[in-house]
Amino acid sequence: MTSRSVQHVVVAGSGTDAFLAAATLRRLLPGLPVTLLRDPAAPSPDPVGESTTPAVLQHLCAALGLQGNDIHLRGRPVWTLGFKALWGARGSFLRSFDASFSNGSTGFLAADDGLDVSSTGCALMAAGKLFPRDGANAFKPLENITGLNFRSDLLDAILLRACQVLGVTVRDGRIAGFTREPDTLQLEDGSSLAADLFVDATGSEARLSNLAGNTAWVGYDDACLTSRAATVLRRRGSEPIRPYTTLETLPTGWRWRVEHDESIGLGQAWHPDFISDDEACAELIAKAGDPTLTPRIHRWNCGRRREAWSGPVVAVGDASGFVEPLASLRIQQLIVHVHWLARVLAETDSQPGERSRLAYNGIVTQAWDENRDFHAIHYRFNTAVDSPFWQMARATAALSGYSELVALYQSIGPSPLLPNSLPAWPGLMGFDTWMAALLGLGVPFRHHPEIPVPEKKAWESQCQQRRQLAKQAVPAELCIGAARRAARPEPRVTLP
Amino acid sequence: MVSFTENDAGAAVPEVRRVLILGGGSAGLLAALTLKRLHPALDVQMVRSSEIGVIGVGEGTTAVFPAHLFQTLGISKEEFYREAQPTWKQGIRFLWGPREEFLYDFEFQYDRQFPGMPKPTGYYATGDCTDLSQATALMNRQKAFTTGPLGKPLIKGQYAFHIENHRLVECLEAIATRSGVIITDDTLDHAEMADGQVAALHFKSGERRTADLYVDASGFRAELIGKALDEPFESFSDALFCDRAVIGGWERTDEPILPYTTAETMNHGWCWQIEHETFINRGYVYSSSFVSDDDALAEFFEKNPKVTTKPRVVKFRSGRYRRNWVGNVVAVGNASGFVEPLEATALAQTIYECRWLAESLRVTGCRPDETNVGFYNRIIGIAWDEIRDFLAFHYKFNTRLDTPFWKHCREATSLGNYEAVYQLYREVGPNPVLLFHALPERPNIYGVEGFLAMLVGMQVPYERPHDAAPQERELFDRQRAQIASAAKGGVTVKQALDAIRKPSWQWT
Repeated sequence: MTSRSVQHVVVAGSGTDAFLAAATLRRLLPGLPVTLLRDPAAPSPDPVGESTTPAVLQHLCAALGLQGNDIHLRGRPVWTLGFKALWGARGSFLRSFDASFSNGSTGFLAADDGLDVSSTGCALMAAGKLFPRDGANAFKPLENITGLNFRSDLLDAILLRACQVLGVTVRDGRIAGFTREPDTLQLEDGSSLAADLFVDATGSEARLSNLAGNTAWVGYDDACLTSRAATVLRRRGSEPIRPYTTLETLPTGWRWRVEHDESIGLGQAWHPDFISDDEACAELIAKAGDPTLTPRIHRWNCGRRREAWSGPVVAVGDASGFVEPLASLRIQQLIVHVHWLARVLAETDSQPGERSRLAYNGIVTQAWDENRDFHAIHYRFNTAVDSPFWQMARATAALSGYSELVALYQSIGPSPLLPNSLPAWPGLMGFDTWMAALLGLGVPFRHHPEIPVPEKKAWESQCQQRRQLAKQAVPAELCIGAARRAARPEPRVTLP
Repeated sequence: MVSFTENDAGAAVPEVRRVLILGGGSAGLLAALTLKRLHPALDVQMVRSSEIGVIGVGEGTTAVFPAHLFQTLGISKEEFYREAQPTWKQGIRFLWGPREEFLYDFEFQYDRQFPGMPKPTGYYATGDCTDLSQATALMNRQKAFTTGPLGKPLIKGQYAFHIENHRLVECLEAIATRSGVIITDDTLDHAEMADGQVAALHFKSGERRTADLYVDASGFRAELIGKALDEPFESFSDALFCDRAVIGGWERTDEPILPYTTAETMNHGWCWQIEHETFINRGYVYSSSFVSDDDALAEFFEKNPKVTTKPRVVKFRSGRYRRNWVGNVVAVGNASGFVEPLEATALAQTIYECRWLAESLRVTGCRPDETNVGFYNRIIGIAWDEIRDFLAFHYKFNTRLDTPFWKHCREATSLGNYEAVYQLYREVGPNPVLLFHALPERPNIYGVEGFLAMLVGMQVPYERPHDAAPQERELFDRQRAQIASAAKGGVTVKQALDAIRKPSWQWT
């Protein structure tokens, strides 16, 4: 018998990762006491905030029981329908969260014509609008197809409050050491904290995992090709809020832009062999148009811990691994970790053994590696700019587990047969996301089926309908304003 | 903007217009029908040899078979039932493991959780494991189908067939001919090779035939994939130790037609019982390393005193060719690989191969390139290895007999790629949610369900059995009783056969 009985969990960390992990475990495992150990001296989160995917809002509501209007009033998030990427053979493409290419010839039709209106989300983004109009004075908040852009301090406040409401014991302290048998955390104030399972949610520092000796690392250097980034938050001024996150190819890397209500988060990622940190920062400041801003520099170490869960310590979120923020998957990745940890504990009646641990690690590894490969295709197939960096990227970006999917795509295109070559099912982001990216990047394929005229006509008419819907839709400012003013924004929101 | 250099792998691939199928058994016919019906523009020729003939063992199918014939190929049910005269099976009854028996169906027994129950079904099935699905409830009561309106059998869902091979072949041949497949009787002399590809086939009649794609359906002979191309054969001998079968049977008298195939543990292997309408077919699959043909025959007769036909011994080797599609040759059926019929996989695997072949042609406009061929070989290889590992579970955990053969199986059988599934099961029990993530490959055929049916069916122990509270147990039994009550009013195979032969019967 190798199973350990888990009667008490300690979650260590001071940011989104820790608060979300503690609240989720507490709510999904009602009988299990959870202690959150946070470091009062921890550095404050990056003010540029981050954008997320629909899975995050679903988790906040379904798993944590938060109310939609509460999130909007206190978190002041901005909805995002997906991405506008200045990227790939087309030069630019939209990728919405409601992409759907699994059925029939949709992918082939969209490849030829109408990719920018291939889903409701795309059509809305193309028109610069957020939500469809509902009657004369209202809009339909399609929150199932939107992610939220959060400012980390506000999101953290919501999550910390959720911890408190759910009965997580919150304790302040800084980790000084970790000893085994009994498994105990030593704190800097001389006290100690024992538990059966420790969740390392200390971010990329991974303090707890490192103290426990879990340091084996799998680098993603051949797939995630930038390793430095700088971020700034600038005032919005009178600029309209874009209903998407922007990704832009730069000669030495790429830039992202996350929309907040009164500000805009800008980030630039580069490879240090191709541009100096000073030059990159100067580019970013120039783009932001405000020379008073000081960029925050990040050094990325893309990769994952070989084993997320080792002994009594489970690393989640950034402590478990990191990839560049090209697909806004950071919090979704964290949710996968926490969700499966809760699931394994629930399914094993809180007595996870060695094989359960390995199963958990397998799931987490798959999610990370999929994320990695998804980034790799963005390097491999970006022909938007020709520069030494991008020549290197196209030549070297390595596809591992998803190489068959991509090779098959290059042969038979966005065919409904392709899901059979997905290494994991349903995977972190799902088949449609992969198709949306490959189509958007304009990755060429060799076999184009004959599509019957009636099917083409039907597609054109659907595109036209979506275009029409988007044309009459409501811009982000009005939707956001209304949601924050209304006590109950769902399901129908009156315009101001 | 930069443009990609077009990968020229695709440009040079010639279009497949003419297909030549070598072999006229069920595999060749299924390949011919599948290709012709799904690609009517293809020129499909089949050459079969009346000199060689077919193995001609009575066959059990899985639920894939009727679905393929009726839904995918659009074959008429009237004609098929009239000509092939199948009977129905809902699954397999295993006289196997420590229980008196257990059932495996084509539905879900263990990859499910009854509404309101805290745990999946497997946790409650350590003792009684009956009536967990509609199909097993029917099998348990020797019924074939539930009864629908007007007392008619509901011939729906995941059912399969028992078919006599000669009837199946005749029926499919007639349909194939009518569908435009050109069938010739001739015997292969040799394959003419050029650049490692088949350039033409020469026949005893002196005829030389060419095609764009050759389908090797020549059975164990594997004339093209094995002999002409010399593709390596990967043996399954670390998992499957049987290599012979003795086959016999008797005319049915008053025995009821059972709605399942029976698989019975024997001293040195196992014995099938296949239920044809007027004939009962039995076959003892054994390992020649543990028993002589004579002794196997003696045991076969002793346990089947009714056998009247002269039993014949068939030798086989389990395994598969490393690649089944090499250049312009695709092997299907026994030419692609073989395992004993413990899970009635032969026709299902043949159909799987034919479907993927037809799909590969469809998505490439009949110009399959190296990528497609590689994909095909990976998918088919995964399927073969999954079948091998699934059968290995049957051997590894069968504790029914303590003969040297079965002791050897329990000790030496390798679980292959599914070892991790067993290891996780041992720790967490029959938990489909967690076990799903231990499955080694996709796509897979049996899913968690098949492996759990074996593990729970054979009462393979796990670390912490679930101790159900009395109310929980009661709730569980109530759900089973509900399933059982629908089965009680069902119809037998005989009644269902009578029903479909009434002039008033209409297939839907």
